[in-house]
Amino acid sequence: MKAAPIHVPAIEIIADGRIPDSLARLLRVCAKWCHVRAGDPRLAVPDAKVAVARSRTQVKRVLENSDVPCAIWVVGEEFTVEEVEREFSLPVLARVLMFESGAQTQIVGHRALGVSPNARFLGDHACVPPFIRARWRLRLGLDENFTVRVGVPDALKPAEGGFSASLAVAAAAVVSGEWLPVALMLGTPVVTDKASVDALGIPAEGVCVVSDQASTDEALNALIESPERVAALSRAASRFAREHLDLGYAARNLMHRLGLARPGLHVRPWHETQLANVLDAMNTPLTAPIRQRALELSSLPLGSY
Amino acid sequence: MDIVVCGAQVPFMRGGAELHMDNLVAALNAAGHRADLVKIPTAWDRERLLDSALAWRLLPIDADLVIATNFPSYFVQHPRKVVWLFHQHRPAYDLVDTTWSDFGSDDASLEAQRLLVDWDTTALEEARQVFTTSKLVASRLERFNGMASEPLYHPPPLFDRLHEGPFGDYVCCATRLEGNKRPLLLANAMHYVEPPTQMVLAGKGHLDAELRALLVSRELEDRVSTPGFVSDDDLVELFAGAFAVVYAPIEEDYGYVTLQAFRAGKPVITTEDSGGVLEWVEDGVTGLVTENSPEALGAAIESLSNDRDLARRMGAEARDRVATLSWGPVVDKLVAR
Repeated sequence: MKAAPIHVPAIEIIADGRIPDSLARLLRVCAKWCHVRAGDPRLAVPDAKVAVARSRTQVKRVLENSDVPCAIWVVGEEFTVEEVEREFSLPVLARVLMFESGAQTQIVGHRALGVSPNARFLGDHACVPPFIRARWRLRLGLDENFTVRVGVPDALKPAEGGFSASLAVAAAAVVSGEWLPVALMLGTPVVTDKASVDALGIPAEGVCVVSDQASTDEALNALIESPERVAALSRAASRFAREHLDLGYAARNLMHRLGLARPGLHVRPWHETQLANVLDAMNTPLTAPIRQRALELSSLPLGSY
Repeated sequence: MDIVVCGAQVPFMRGGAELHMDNLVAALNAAGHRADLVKIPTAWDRERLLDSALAWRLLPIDADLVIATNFPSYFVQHPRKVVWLFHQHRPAYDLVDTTWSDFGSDDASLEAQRLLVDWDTTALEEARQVFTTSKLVASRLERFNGMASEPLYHPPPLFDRLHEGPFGDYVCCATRLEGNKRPLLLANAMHYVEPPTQMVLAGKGHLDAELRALLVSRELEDRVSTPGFVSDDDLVELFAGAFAVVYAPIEEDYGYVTLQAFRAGKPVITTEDSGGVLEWVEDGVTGLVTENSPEALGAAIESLSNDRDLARRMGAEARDRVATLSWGPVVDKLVAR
């Protein structure tokens, strides 16, 4: 017997004109798990739509014509879901309004989603807690207080992989610029400058902020001397990065809200492989509901693998 | 309310954790709730460590409240989950790189450890409230997972039956004869204690044969008795008749032996690396705390053997320290949220 093909959900893009860069990057990540395509009446009805609206009128038009779950990327105007409901006297069919919310990526209203323009796909990086960092350093023969400087003027410039691996095991790091989100995601205890903090909207508990070179070295040394501070920074940083700077998280969040979330579409975490092996051994068809159910029930929340 | 207590168990093993779960269920039922215990087998080896965790994620638990206890039972999913943490998988945390851990410094170990920490943190953060059995367990949770928790002390088994008695010529201990309980250290200590002082080392375990061989080689068979498992009645009398209790596990999470000894009005001789035991044993006040050497333990046993008045004073103070332990406040806290 040949198993039925697995349904891969389709998202249709509705846009008059240029798609904002941030949305384009978000959709490219969504494409890891579903078909993302332009609107075309010859194709089957999509599972969801993502529309770009540059005015309240466009928002209204999208809402009136949406027959499937829809996300609206609002450009230029700031309003809440509640305002839309009030203004148009329409039940809002959209599952989510998305705002490119600058440095702040707070959820605006219960059906809105903020996507930081600084967000990028960070799903390849997993948090390494401080005590496991220490064990890695030991294994690699590195100094117990091995630190890294990335993105600062006097930094060395190893290959990207070198940066990432170094940040993953460092006791602490001085980081600014484009590598800051990666360092935060990896749970690296970070010393950085105020400009970087402001640009990413990092909360005070996520990093150690300094103003000049002298205070940088001082802060770095003080940080290494305080295991409690290191642990607190590491966890707060990783959590912030996962929830606010990772396009993978934002994309999965968006798909979840559109009803498209499907465990197993991402790179398979270990438990899914285990489950799949057990189900295969029982000759369970790929389309069997129990397969989907097992994956859903056993999935830990977003970002936990 | 309907409450399910969740616990993991290695088949054929029974110790403090199993007694703790049974007594918790009994206390919940006594408080007017309808409580039941759900246990799932688990394996501690690294390769199969997360199998049981996954199984817990899949279980349908229909109850008003779920109380998860040890690793990996807290992976259970429920909208009203409270964790009373006995311990995490210690070989991946504080016991790593010891003889009790199969987590090494190889890539696979480190990644398994990283994943476990991530999963543990995620599953524990789902709980409405996390309690621990002791400050030590709470401090480990803070150190390794960055999570705050509240220690919740409870009375040990036989609490209502344990009583004071004569300060006889022996020290005793009732524990599983396993490496982390260090029964060989206790027996070796007797080499440095003068007759007629005796030791009763009750319990069974993998070190049974090794212990007996040690006693023969050290010519201590006549001074250290190993009755194996003893009945509850015998255990109560064993504590009652001793002049002190000696108990020196490595980094014990809680340690019923200490509390049972205190309830029986006996001081406890322990070591400075015995973990949760030290939350109760105050050196020179409710017992003696020594280095973890047979010589130091032997000297401590000898000193209390020679000064029974001191043992009595410490025993009285120890009994006072546990006088207020009861299940009522524990149950109230667990069901409060």
